[in-house]
Amino acid sequence: MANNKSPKGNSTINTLVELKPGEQGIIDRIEADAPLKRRLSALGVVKGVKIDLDFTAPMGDPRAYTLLGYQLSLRNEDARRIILRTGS
Amino acid sequence: MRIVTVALVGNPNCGKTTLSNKLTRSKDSVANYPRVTIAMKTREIVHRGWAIRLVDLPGIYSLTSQSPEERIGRDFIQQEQPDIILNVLDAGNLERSLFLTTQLIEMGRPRIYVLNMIDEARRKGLRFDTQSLATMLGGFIVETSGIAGEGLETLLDAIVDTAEARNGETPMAIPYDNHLEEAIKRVQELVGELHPRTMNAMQTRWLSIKLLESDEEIVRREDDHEHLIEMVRRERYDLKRSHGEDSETMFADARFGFIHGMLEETREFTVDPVRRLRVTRGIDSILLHRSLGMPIFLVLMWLMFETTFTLGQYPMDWIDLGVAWVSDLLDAALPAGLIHDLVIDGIVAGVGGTIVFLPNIVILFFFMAVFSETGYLARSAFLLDRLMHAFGLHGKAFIPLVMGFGCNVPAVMACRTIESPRARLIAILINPFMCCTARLPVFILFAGAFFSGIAGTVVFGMYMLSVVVAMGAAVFLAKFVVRGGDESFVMELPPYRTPTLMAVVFHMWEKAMGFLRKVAGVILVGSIVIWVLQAFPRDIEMSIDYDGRIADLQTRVQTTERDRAISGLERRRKQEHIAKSYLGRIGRAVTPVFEPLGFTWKDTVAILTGLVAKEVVIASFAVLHAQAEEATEHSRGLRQALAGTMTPLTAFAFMVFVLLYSPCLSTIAAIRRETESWRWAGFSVAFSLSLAWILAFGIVTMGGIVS
Repeated sequence: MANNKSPKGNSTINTLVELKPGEQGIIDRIEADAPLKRRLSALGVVKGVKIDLDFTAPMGDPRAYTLLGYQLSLRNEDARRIILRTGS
Repeated sequence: MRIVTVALVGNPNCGKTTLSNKLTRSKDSVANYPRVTIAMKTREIVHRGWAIRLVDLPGIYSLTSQSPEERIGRDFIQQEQPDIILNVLDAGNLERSLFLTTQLIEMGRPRIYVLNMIDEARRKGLRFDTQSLATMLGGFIVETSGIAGEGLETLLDAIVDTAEARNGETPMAIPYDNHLEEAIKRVQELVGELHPRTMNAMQTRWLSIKLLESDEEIVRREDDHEHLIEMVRRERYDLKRSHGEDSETMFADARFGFIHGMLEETREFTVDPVRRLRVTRGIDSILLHRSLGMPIFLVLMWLMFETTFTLGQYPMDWIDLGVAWVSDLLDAALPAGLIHDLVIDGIVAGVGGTIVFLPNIVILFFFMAVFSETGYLARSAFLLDRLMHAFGLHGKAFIPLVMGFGCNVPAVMACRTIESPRARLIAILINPFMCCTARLPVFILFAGAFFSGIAGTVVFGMYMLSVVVAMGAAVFLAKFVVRGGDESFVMELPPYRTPTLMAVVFHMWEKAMGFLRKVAGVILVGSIVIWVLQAFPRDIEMSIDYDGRIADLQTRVQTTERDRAISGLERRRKQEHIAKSYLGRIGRAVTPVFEPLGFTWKDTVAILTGLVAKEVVIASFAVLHAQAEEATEHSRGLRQALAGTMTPLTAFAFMVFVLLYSPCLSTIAAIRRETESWRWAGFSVAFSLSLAWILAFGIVTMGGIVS
């Protein structure tokens, strides 16, 4: 529904899952169903918030991120739905 | 006395439980882990002539209708209209904590804000302008530390002051974007028309916002006002078209915008924000290390088990001795007869047999308390989520499963830490398949009797099978029984904290008392029932006159031969008594069900008695095969007696059956308690019984074809 006509293969679009360790991204939007979106936004995953990748679990999934001064762990399948601001 | 009702609302892990414990000095479970408070707890304290009724609401991040906890919180505030909402905030984490606040503000009740864990926040270099914050948030601000007990008097004063002011509604509006405000106003007008005189401006605004946010429950509530629903749909559509995002996102952005602006003005950093999480990051870089993380976790698990069972052995022996002492004492004190037998063979034996597990439970929960208090429990879920996810389970289900190897009772209780009710239910239902230590004696006996060359491998195989069945059951239950969406693994990793002794002790105390209170009740009743079935009817016609013969023998000169003959007769009398008792009759009646598996009536009776506790199976076999009372899994006589009654194939099927069939009474009681329903406890029994039967039947059939 919230598909912001972003053509596939557009290399400027980054999702949270593409963030490298120690890198920081800025959240642009969430493209997920309403329940997940609500859960994430209640935890501060909203537009303009800075987010860092801290740790990756032994099997590559889930991962721990820092935002708003606390740590949040997310499965990659959910992190993929969080779109980061491009540029910077 | 005047009464004021105060609802404690806050995020999971904000120190709410510690704070309210300190306030009431009561003994409750607290943990540095989300969602320990599941039900609501109400306590009362007296301050300055007011009775303050504290209602502890579950820890939540928002007030939508997404989870049962959120619904409980919202319904309570709306329906019970507490006099004051005490919003507990993690002072070191205000951005996130205040999101819930923006929703509380819109519900209008008078509020008091607690900046909790203020000492931790100060160490992080945070300072607050509480005066301005209080004005912006429309309520008292009190800085507290639940652990240190700082600010508690001030908080109680603030509660009484607010209660005395009796302000009623404290209206305040979170400012939204112009387009949103216009939409709210239009919807609000219609809502006002539809609910004339029953809602004030605050309530109509709240309802309009919830409708525009498309809150499922609220939309359903207004369902009959088609006109309104249609209008909201159109407003949402227009907003989305003009802003390129849906209205929920717009609301969330605006709320965080409000929070951000407020904190800019009222909060000061004296330490670089990056440094604030330094300690936690440092510990995590070891404990969550990609190659070290798992080995460290396994070592910690091993340590937990080793300690539980080696250290637990001493108090277990003491309890055993104590129970024997009580039993002897009562044996001497009570006159021979029914009451004597009921008390000693029924109650003392049954209850005593269960409370020996208390040390195990206390030690396991000591570790659990330390893990959750420090914040490691959340990390372990993080480490294992990928593996558990493959079976449709949540990362947090791992520790309860491993605990199940020890005893299913504390393991089922440990499932409480899983937040989503569906994932929790699945984790509870698969737990009884994990091979607890009570089943081990049965396997040792059978493996020794029938597979003496490969006994170790067979017992190990049983453990492997228990894991395979538990995982398979998880997949099956998720697919066919407890259906619903896959839970996302969105979990906060709380910062590492030093556990306080008080919290750890409270945690252990609560678990131990819970075990003793609820489980001992069921065990008591169960033991009495089994005893009655074994002991009645009293007037059994024996095939030979045992008493006469024994009396006859006793008149002779004492020789070892004579004594052996007497005890042999006594055993045969006991055997015949059981065979003809109600239990024996039930066993015989049920036997046809087990006949396809090749089990005799004796096996059936042993299985039935094993429902109380799996260890009882061995004791029953000893009685049924007329062995000496003190027969254990190592006794050779019992092995030989058994070896004659079954083929190895049947014996293997029997082992598998014992492994999987019905949880024991204590576990059933724990399941009933944790799921709050007899239905799920009953389901667990039926499910495991059928699974055990089917697998045992499969083994017997397959084995029959092969050989």
